[in-house]
Amino acid sequence: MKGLLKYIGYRLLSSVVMVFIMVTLVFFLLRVLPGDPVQALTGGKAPPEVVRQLKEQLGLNLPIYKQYFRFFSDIFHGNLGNSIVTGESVKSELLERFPATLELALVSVILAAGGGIILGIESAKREGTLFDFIAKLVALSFYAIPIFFVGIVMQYIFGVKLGWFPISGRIDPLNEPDKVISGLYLLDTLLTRNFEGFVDALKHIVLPAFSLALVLFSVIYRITRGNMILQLKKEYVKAARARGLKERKVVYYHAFKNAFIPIFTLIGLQFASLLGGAILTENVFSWPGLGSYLIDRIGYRDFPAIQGAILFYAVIVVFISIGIDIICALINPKIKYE
Amino acid sequence: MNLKKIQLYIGIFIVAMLFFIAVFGPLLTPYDPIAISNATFSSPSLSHIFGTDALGRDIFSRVLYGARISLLVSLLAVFIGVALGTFLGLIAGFFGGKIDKFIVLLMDAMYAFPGLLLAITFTAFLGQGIRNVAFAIAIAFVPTYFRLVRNQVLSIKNEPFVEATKVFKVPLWKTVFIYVFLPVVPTLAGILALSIGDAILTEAGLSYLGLGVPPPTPDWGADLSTGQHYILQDYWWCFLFPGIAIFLAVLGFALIGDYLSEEKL
Repeated sequence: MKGLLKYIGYRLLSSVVMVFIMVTLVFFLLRVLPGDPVQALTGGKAPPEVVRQLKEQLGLNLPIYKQYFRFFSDIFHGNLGNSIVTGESVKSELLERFPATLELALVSVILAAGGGIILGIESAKREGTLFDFIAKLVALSFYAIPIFFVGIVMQYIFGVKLGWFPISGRIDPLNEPDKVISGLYLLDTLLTRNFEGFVDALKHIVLPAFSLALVLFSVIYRITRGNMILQLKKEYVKAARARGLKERKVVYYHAFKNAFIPIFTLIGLQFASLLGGAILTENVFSWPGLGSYLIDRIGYRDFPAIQGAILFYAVIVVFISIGIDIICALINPKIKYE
Repeated sequence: MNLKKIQLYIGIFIVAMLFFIAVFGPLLTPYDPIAISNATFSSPSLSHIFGTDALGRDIFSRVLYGARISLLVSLLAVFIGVALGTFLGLIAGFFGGKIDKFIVLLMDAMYAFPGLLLAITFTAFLGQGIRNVAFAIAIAFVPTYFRLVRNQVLSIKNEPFVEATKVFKVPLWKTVFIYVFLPVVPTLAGILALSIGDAILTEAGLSYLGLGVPPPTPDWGADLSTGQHYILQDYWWCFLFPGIAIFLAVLGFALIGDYLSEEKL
């Protein structure tokens, strides 16, 4: 237990360092490099008087170290500043968009984990056969396909050609949930018994979720296959078979139970890359989440919004990876932490 | 010949083709990849086998020339990543103590962050030249190579044969080369191939988001992005060919990398 606490302590420390580095980096990159927000806002044609006024208003006239300290103290007070483009609070803009990203990520993880684990187990059972080889090639190909290319191809086939699914957005504006409960449309529409809205939201999420799931699918497949191959060669599997247990029970229950921890850890670790992939997917499908927000605001050089979004991403990554560590430790007390 | 070997050969074939196209691309097409013409959106035909885009540019030529940017940026990125990672790994490993702890903490922190997001952060502010994009992509690779080199240094540091090199006044670079680099080569080879594939994907992703090498340079990711604007008009060739090019390039390196990292075990 003591080892675990120490380990979590270290993870927390490295997380704080990560957030700190990211914020500092972004802060300085933004200010040292050419192009500034006032210029972007005014198109570089405003009279100097207006420019000075705007800079003062945004705190850009202060010495750089003062801006930096001001920024950090603001963060500690939970204040990420206001967007230069919309004038809204960045925090509320981010919180408004976060559920969209979360919903997309969750649905994708479920799809990827389901498919990857089942195919991985079936592949491991048939190690070295043609089935195994083809499954592996398919998984490698999924890994190699750019996520945005899959997205565009799906849009073209299932959206434009077949007309089965909408190619952009999260829900039809007419079906938007009357009140926001969780912010996850699939859940909110069900809770408010808005079934038409639910079907609409489901149709909207199908294409982005599948294209985002592909990459994670191949990673989960590979680790499941590898771990299951190791487990299936162990003595206890032989023993279980010798006792006459059904093959399906031996594989899916006994062996899989032991292969599960590394798979679960990996799903947790890959969540970060899933968030990265979500940036692309969101942009392909105009999905109104954090990723499209970030890219959108980079275009405007909206300092506070960009800083806020990157910080927000960093915090999500931190929470998820620590959460996964703790869960792993709880379900398997045998893990040693150094 | 077993299936594994076939996998390797397919990978090598694709990568060899990629290099061939990158070097001899201009000899394979009569068109200039950035020359605008009146023949906009012509579908694939004998004169334009991949069709033309919104500005009437030959897509086949753009795909061929795109291999150059893709390879150049990703090889440069991996090189920078390896160089920085090795440098930090040697420092952390040999000095140890507080310096080691600090660098490890830094690397752990970076490792947990999504690579694409790191690259986006850098390119968004560094600007879009080839060097900047390569550097932005490289950052995400540093922790991987750092770990590899540091672990190797730690495992040999206190060995008697390394002590002996000090006695015989063998230059440090020689010691490092023989006892740190040579032993990690088998592991490194697989990781390198996978890294190059990753770098190609990241480069394409950045260009897709409008953060890569600026237009009109032929670039697969950027062409895919402009191609997407015309899916409603059914101009499928505008996005299909650049996309397939990225896919094949990444697949080639992934097949080799996967083979090398499994064979080593």
